[in-house]
Amino acid sequence: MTEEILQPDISGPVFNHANGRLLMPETRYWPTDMWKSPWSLPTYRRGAAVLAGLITGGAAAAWFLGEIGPRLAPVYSFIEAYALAYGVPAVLIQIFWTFIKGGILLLAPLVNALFAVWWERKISAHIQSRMGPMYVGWWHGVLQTVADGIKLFLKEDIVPDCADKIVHWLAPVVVVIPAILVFAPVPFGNELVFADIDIGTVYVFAVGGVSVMGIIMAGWSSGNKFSLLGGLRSAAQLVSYELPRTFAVLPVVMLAGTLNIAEIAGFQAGYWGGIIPRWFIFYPVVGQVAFIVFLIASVAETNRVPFDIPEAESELVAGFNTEYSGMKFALFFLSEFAYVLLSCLLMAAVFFGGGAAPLPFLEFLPSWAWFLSKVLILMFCFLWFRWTFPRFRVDRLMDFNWKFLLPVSLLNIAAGGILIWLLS
Amino acid sequence: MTKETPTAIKADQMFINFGPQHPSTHGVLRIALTVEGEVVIKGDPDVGFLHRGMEKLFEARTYSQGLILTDRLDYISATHNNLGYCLAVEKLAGIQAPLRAQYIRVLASELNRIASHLVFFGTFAVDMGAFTPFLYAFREREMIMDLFEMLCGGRLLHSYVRVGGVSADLPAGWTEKCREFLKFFKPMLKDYDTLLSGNPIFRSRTGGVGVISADRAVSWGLSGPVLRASGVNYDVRKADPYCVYAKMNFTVPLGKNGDCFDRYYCRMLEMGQSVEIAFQCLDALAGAELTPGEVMAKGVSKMLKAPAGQAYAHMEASRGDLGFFAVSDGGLNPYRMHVRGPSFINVAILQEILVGCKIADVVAILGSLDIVLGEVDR
Amino acid sequence: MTADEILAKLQASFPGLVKSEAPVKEYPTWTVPAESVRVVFERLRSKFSFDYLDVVTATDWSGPINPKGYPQSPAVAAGAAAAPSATAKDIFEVVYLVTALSTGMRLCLRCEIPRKEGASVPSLYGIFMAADWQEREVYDMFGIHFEGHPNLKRILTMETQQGYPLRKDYEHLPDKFD
Repeated sequence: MTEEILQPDISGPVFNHANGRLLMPETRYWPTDMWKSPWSLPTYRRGAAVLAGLITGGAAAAWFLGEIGPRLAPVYSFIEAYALAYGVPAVLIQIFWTFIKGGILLLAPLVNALFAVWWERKISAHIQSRMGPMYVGWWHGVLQTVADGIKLFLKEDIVPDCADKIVHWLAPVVVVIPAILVFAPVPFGNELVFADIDIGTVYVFAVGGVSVMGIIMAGWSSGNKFSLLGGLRSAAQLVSYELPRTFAVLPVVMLAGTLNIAEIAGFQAGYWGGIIPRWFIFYPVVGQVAFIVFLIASVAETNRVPFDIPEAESELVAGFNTEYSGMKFALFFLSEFAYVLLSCLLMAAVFFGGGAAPLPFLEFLPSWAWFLSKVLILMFCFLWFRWTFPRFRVDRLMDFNWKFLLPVSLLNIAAGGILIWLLS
Repeated sequence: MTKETPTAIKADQMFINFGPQHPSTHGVLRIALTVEGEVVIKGDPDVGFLHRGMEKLFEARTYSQGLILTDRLDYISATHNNLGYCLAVEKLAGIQAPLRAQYIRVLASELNRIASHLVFFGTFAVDMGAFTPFLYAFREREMIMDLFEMLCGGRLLHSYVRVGGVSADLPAGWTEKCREFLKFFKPMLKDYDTLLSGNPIFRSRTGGVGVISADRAVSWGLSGPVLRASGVNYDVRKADPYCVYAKMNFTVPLGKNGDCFDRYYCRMLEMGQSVEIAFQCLDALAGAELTPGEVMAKGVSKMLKAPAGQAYAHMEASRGDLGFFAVSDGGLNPYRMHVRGPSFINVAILQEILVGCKIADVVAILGSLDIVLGEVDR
Repeated sequence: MTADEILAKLQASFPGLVKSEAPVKEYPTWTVPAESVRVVFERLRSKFSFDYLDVVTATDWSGPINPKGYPQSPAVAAGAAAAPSATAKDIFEVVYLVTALSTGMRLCLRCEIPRKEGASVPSLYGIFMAADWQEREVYDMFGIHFEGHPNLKRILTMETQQGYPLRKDYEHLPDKFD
C-alpha cells in the first residue's frame, strides 16, 4: 500500500504556516549575550548609572535633612509648652506623645515589609536572570507589594473545618504582636529610639522569642499534618538557635559594659589610628566570630533559606502557614520581614557601630542615613543567601547548631574575656 | 491505584498522604508515608492518577496515528519516545531509515536529553530548596525549545521522528544556531557545578542518601542514570547500539555509591557527553556523503501495514531504557503495543529505599529518581 | 555460548522448553510451560547470569478488537465484527524479556496459558524485583494471576475498575468519570 508517501519539504519559505516550522528570528532573545563582558552591555551600564544616581541622590537628601532626633526635640518642647499653657496635665502630654511615637514605630515593620518584599522580588529576579515585577507603580514595579497587600486584604479568610478555630485565629496575632513590640528599644540612629531602656538586649531576645509560640499554635491548630510537622520543626529550630544568637552578643555586652543597645552603638564611635572605625566587627577574632555566629543564627531565627525548614516548600507544602490565607497569611509574612529588619538593625547597632560613619571624612551624613544603609546592606545579604543556598535537612540543622555554633559561641565568650583582659 | 488505609499505626506514628497534590511529587504521584516524627517507617508509592490507557489506544490507531500518543508518555523528552516507537515499528515492518535521518535522530535525541536533564537539574534543586538553578536551567532549555520549534514547529511535543525517518530535513540556518547553543551551553555546566554541585549543604543533603547498591539496582530493573549511578555500566547506546550510536565517540559516566548525589552528577556529566555527540552529529551532517533532503525511507506509507510478527526495540531515553514491544497480526493497527517505561520501573524501588530515611530525604530520593508521571501511568 | 545454546542445554532438564516458531525479531525466543517458569528463570539467573529483567508483559491472542467509540480502521468494515485473524488463539501469552548485563545476551521467553478467568502463572517476585510492579500491571490489564506475588493488586486503574482493559473482549462500562 503506497498511495501517499511522506515527502519532506525543505524548499519552503522562511516561515512556513503549512508545517509550522519557524526560522529563528533575530529579535528572539537568546542569552548568548552572556559571552560578552557585562560592562560592554548597555543594560548593565545603565543599571550602574541608575544605582550611582540613587546613592548620590539619597546621600544628598540625607545631608539636607540632617539629624532627625535633635530636630524633633524642639517640636516636642513647643507642644509641651503650648499644652501646659492651656493647663493640660503633663502626664497626659507624655501619654499622648508616647502614642504618637508608638504609631511611628508601628510604621517601621509595615513600611519595611512593603519595601523588603518588593526588594526581595527584584533581587531574586536579577539573581535568576529575570526582571521581576515591572508593571505596577511608576518605576520597576515599586507598588507591586501594595497591590499584593490589597489583594490579600480582599481575599477570603478560610478556616479549615478540622482546625481549632480560636487557636487558629489567635496564632497570627501571637506571632505579629511581639514582632512589633520588639522594636521598642532598638535605635534607628542617634537619639532615635522609642524606649531607651537599660536592658534592651535582654528585652529584644525575650520578646522576640514569644513569636515561636504563635508558630507552634499555627502548626498545631490547623489540623493539617504538614502544618504540625512545620510547627514542631520550628519550635525545635527557634529554641535551639536562640542560644548561640544570645551568646554571640555577650562579648559585645562585656566589652561595652551595658545592655542598652543605643549605648552599645555609641560605645563604638571613634577610629583607631584615625582610619579604622572602632566597630565591634573589627575587634580581632572575637568580633568576626561573634558576627558570623550571630548572622547564621539570625538567618535561622527568621526562618529563611538555608534554614527555612519550618515552611520548607518542597517538603511540607508551606509548613505552619499552609492553612492560612488572606490577611492572616499576610501577618505571618509581615512578622517574618519584621524579624529580618530587627536582625539587621541589631547587627548594625551591635557590630557595625550603629550610626557611625565608616570613615572620618564621611561624618557629614546624619547617623540615621548610615544606620539605614548598613541595615540595607545586611538585608541584602539575607536575600542573597536565600536565593543562593539549598535548604538544610532538619537533623543536620540541629547538629550544626548544637555541635558547632553553640561551642563556638561559648568559646567566643571566653575569648572575649581574654580580649578585655588584654585591652585593660 | 489502591486505597492505602492507615491500618496498624502505632500511637506515636503518623500517616501522611505525600501527594498526589504536593509541590515536589513531580506530578500526581502519591506516596503513602508512615512516619515516626521525622523518620519514615514505611513508604508506599501509589501510581495511576494519570492513567490514559495508552496501550489500549495504540490498538485502535494506525501506526502513524500512534506516534502522536508517544509524545504524551514522557512529555519532557518527547523525541525519545517518538524514536523508541519508530524503532519498534520499523523493526516490525522491516523499514530502514536513511543514514541522514539517523544522524538527525541522534542529534535531536541528544538535544532532547540535554533539555530533559536540565529540567531534572532545575527541579531537583527546587526540591533541595534552591530556587535559582531552576531558572538557570530553564534559560538554557528555552534555547533547545527554540531549536526544536525551528526543527518541527513543536516545542514540547515534537512528533519529529516519524516511522521511516524524520518529518523534515534541517531547515536553513539551523546547524549554525545549534552550534551556537552548544558552544554556549558547554561552559554553563561548570556554572552549575559552582552554583549547586559544590555547595556543602547540597552535598550533605544528597551524599549518602537513598543508597541503592549495584545488585539491588539490577534486580529492581532500574535503568538509565539511576542504574549507572550505582556503578553498573549499562547504557543501551553502548550495549545495544541503535541508529548511528555505534559510530559516536562518547563515554558513559558511572557513579560509585549509588546515592542521590551520584544520580544527580551522572546526569550532569551525561549532558556534557550529549554535547559531544551533538557536535559529532553536526560534523557528520555537514559531510558530503549524506544527501540533503533524503530523510525518509522510500515507500513508507501513512497507512503502514506491518507483516504479522513481534518486535521489541529499546533505546536509551533520558530516564533510562525505554522499550516498545510491538505485536502485529498483519493489520493496519498494532495488535498490541507495550511500553516499557523506565520511570514506571524506577519508581517501584521507592518502597525499598524510603524506609528509615527522613521526610526531607523522601523529596531528595524522589527527585533524584527523576520520574515523569506521564510515563509511569501511561 | 549463545542464548540459544544455553536454552538448548536447559531443555534437557525441562522438556517443555521449546524454541518458538515465530520469534520476537532479533531475540532468541523460546516457549516455556507455565509450571517451570520460575525454575527456568532461577536457573537462568544463578547459572547463566541473566540478571536483568527487561519486560514482563502479555498478549491476549483471542482476536482483533472492534472497539466501540474509537476511530475504526478502514480494514474493518463499519459495524461489522472483526474477522478472526489467522493468528487468533484462545490463549494469553506472557512475554518475558531478560538480559545478561555482563555478556550482553538477550532472550525472550514466552509462556502460553489458556485464556480463562483466574488464569495464572508463577510470579518472578523474589528472583527479579523488577517483576513486582510489571506483574501487577499485567494483572491489572489482563487479569492474569501471578502465584506467589505478595502484593497482587491493581496498580494503574482504580480499585473499582470492572474487567481487565487490555483483554480483547473488554467492553468499557460508562461510570461516573465518563
